[in-house]
Amino acid sequence: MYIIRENFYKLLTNLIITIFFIFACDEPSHGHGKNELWYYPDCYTIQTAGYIGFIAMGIGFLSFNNTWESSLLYGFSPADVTGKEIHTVSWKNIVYPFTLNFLDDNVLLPFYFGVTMLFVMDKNVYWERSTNCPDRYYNPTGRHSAVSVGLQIQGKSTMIGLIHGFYVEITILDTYLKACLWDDSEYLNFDDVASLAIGYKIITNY
Amino acid sequence: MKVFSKATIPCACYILIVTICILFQGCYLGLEYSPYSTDVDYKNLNKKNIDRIKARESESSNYRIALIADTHRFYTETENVIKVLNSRNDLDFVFILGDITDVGLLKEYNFAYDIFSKLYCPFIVIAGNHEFLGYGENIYKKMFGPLNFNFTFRGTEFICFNDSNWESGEPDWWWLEQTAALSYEQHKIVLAHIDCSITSERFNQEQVDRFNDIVKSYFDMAFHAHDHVNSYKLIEDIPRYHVGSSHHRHYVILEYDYNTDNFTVELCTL
Repeated sequence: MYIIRENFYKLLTNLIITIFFIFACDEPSHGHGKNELWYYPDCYTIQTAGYIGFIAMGIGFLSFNNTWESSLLYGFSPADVTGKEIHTVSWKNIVYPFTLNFLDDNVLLPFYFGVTMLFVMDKNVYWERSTNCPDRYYNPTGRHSAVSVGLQIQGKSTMIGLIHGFYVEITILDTYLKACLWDDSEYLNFDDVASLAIGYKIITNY
Repeated sequence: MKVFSKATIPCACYILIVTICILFQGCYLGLEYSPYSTDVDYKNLNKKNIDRIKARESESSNYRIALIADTHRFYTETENVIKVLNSRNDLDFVFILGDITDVGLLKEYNFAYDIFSKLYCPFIVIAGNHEFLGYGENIYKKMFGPLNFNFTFRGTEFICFNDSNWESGEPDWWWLEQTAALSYEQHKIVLAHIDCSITSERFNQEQVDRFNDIVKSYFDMAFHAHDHVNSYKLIEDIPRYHVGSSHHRHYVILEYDYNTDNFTVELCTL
């Protein structure tokens, strides 16, 4: 356990890279064309809010017959909006359990759920532990996780042959979820801890 | 993946209903761009509340104040303590001795403020060690003001001192000593979140001696929090009180009687 704790960041980085390679190399499941390179992303995402930034952009890979999406997003929040400039990197994993086809080429993903790991890039916060305090005195302040549920509508563009996806999500940060479920379920309500996220994505391989 | 057959009308109805629900709920929930936001809605609350306290300066020569602490994560219990304090109707103001957040997030500050603002009397918030986590220090300074500050009320100098040394560096002992030395008030009380009057993993003998020398030279008593339990001890003939956590429904009442020039401290539990 000590080794895992001491090398958390390295292990996490290796895990992210490994999963990305698995997703990217999973050619049969998400149908890369013969001429496309294996590391081409399956989708490009832009999102606002949901704790990952005023504007967040990134790439994603689909796998397991398009039921699992793993995305890496860079998020930026300007000082005018959040009081100080905030740069974040988010690793977002979504599971799409259901798909409904409607109006010819349109697809509805009526319910999905996801888990996001959020890392803020700033020297004043820490991803593992503070150097000033004893080990495990505080939880790391530079990373959080969030859970989300959402709805996505996809429509195919006949002009350029891409699929456009529009989604809305309700997201809860780990700290607030813990406070709501365990610490003080009487005082905090769902409305107090949940927030909305809106996003758009272009899917190239489906 | 299970792909259902084409079902245009049910899909359209579903999209319509869910979108309306989410947008309606979304207006209520709002968009949160980052948990690390420091864009506070309420600013300089300590100064505003000190102004309210000073406005009541001439009403009497006696005073009665309450002290609560370590309210983080214990919102219901804190609300219950505040209901009891409001029911007394005899308090001049309330001190909140730090640790109002768990990890220093803006939303936690707002949760705490929503509860404290229900107090009928003014309240002063002192920074605890948890307020320094993340960008919490920035939020505290914007929302409440300086980390070290002082004010006078009916002949007593209240000196609020930040001693969270692991989180914000070496405490400003020089400021504490100078502020106390320059005060002409008859009584002086120091309030600091962590008790630095005894050696611990946080404070070495040199720091403890420095603090105790200052307290012995200038102060009538000291109030601390951090260990979540009401307690009292006498060090170098100066009383030191620990204010317990609202989690345990602890609070403290400090009363000053001008006629007898005596302080009375009551350690209370709901």
